[in-house]
Amino acid sequence: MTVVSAVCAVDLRRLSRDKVALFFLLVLPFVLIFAIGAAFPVESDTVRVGVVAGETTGVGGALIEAATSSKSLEVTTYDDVREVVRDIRLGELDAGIVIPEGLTRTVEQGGEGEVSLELDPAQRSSAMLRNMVSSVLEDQALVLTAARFAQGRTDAPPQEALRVAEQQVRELARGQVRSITVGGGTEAPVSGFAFTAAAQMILFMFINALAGGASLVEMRTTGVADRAMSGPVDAGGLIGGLTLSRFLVAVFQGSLIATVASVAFDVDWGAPAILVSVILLFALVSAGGGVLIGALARTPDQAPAFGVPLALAMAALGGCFFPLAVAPPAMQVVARVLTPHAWATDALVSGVFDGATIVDVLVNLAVLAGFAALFLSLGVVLLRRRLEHR
Amino acid sequence: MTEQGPRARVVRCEGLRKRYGDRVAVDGVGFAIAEGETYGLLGPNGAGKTTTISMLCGLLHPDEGTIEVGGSPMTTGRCEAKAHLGLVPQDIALYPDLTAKENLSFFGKLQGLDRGELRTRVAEVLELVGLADRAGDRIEGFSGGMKRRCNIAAALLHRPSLLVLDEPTVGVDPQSRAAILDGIDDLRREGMAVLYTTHYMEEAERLCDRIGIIDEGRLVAEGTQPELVAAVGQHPIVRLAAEGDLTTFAGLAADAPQVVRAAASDGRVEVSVLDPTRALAPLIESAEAEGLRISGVEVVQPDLESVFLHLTGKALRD
Ligand SMILES: Nc1ncnc2c1ncn2[C@@H]1O[C@H](COP(=O)(O)OP(=O)(O)O)[C@@H](O)[C@H]1O
Ligand SMILES: [Mg+2]
Repeated sequence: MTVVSAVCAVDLRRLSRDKVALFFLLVLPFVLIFAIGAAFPVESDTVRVGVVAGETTGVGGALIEAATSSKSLEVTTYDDVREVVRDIRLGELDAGIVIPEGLTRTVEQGGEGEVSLELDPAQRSSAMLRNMVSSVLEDQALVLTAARFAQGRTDAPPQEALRVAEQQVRELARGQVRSITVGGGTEAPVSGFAFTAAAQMILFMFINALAGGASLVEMRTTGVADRAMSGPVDAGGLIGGLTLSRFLVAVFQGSLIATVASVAFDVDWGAPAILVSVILLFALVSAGGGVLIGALARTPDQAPAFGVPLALAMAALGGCFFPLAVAPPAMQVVARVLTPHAWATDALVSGVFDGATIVDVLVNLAVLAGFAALFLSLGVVLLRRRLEHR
Repeated sequence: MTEQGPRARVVRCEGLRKRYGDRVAVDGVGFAIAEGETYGLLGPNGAGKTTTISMLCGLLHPDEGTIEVGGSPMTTGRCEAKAHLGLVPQDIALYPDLTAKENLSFFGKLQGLDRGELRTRVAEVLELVGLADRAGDRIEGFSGGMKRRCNIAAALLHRPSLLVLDEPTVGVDPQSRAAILDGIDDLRREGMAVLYTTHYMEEAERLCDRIGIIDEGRLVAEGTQPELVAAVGQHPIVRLAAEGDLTTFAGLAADAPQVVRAAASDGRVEVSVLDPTRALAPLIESAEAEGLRISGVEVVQPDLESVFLHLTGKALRD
């Protein structure tokens, strides 16, 4: 145990002196989160919205009217919600508003009329759209409630009726608009930085672990490992220490991004259990990747030289640059087979956008554990063989 | 020889063999080193010195042969034998971005020294190699000689009874080299057994009580320097520095009277002769007849270089 902790401590100390590594660890992720997160509203001056109109009068009519007259929206009408989802995936639409049939009647009768928003999770426009829809519904509900009073269709005493009316208006504004990130639904408005923060977390945990594989190569090529193993130290102790330090760095990276995103960029991560388990499991995946590349590289420079492009490619495929939901289905399958990133970002995105609980992402977590086991065992076996010269 | 009665054998190895694919790197090497004795493994690059040492230190599993250090068998895993051993690897086995003190503390911890012991031993070995005033400086800022000294210090932390040094003076200025050799002498006087590999004949002569000459994986001779010289016959060497077809000339010279053997190596011809006073003039004559342009002539009394030449038919230098 003293060997593992001594090796780990030395590795972390060396990292703390590596300016390039520190830049990748502490600075670059936040520059990117800020740059990408802030870029979206600028990029899309007008939001392209597809409307599926279940009714064109009453509440539905008011919504269509409001959408069409808004300068920041470009409205196209659709017959089928599936076409809206498809066009969002193809990048031809930013969002969709689905107005159910008989919405006016439902609201008039005081029932729950649900307007759903189909959203691209990377789009910051979601909050804006949501506000627009909510405020139209709020107005409409006021009109309808007033109409009901005027027609004397309520037998409640005036005081009580007013309170009920107010509550109904509030519910309409809040509860009855459901935003659906293409493939799910959530209640609260989502920070425009949420997707990019999740994506950059996964991207950087892995990229830094692979780049850090250099220190494993250095231990071999400098003769430090030989010196250690000519004493009371076996390969297992060295591998344990190096794996532990990769793991701790990845956990630190993930936690740091999660915290900064939440404090500075107003990202609500959803269920904490999802966030914590994704960080821990993906840190194991990353540590395994680092050990693997550290075992395969022949010179210290090879670890970042091969590791960084590889990590970037896996991140791109695994949905860290654009949401996987927007990608063609075939690519989604490939991404899930080849990259742990797809599973990790998917779990995080479900937590953030769909209000998922840990139970909803158990499959993702199990797959991440599988990737971790695969990378770690492969890395340990290869590194042990390298260290033992046989 | 420094025989002072029977002394405990610190290391003994026998019949060591290691092959890499078709290539036999070490082929039946065996030797023993006693307490307070310095044993030199002398041979050119690629002779099998590092491979031998790697097996001796339990880093490489020998294909054949046995190794015992401090009375215990050496294995590639963790074992009792390794507690007696201090290895100075051929490369600078230190982290360049850590200070001398941080490096030594790290290796001390790996050796299992406790906190108090660690602090005193790190200070002691830094003092021993003359780096006490540079303890807080990073290795990357050190000169080649300082790095080498620190590389040695890291092997001494746990007071090993056998110090194994693999070409510890490569890339070092003469002053540092002298300091390193003196330091090793001091350790030997304190009773440490030393295994020292080198391809510098002068170092082996200066430092080692006994020398094993290794070439192409085989130990071709072993003994004290006078023993080795006596064993191969004491032939002085005439060394001609010259330009021209040296190989052809060496072939011709080898058949001349008075000449025992002749070999050419970069820019010179070395000719072992029975009596230099009689051999010199005819040699120079025939060299000139062969069209060689001679730029220097030197007569050398037999040393390890000539022993090596005699045993292997080639020069020790690269
Ligand atoms: N890992 C290895 N794989 C293949 N050949 C090796 C390996 N290590 C050493 N050799 C070969 O074994 C021979 C002895 O090498 P080495 O012990 O390093 O010699 P020395 O230390 O005397 O210079 C050389 O021919 C070298 O090329
Ligand atoms: Mg060597």
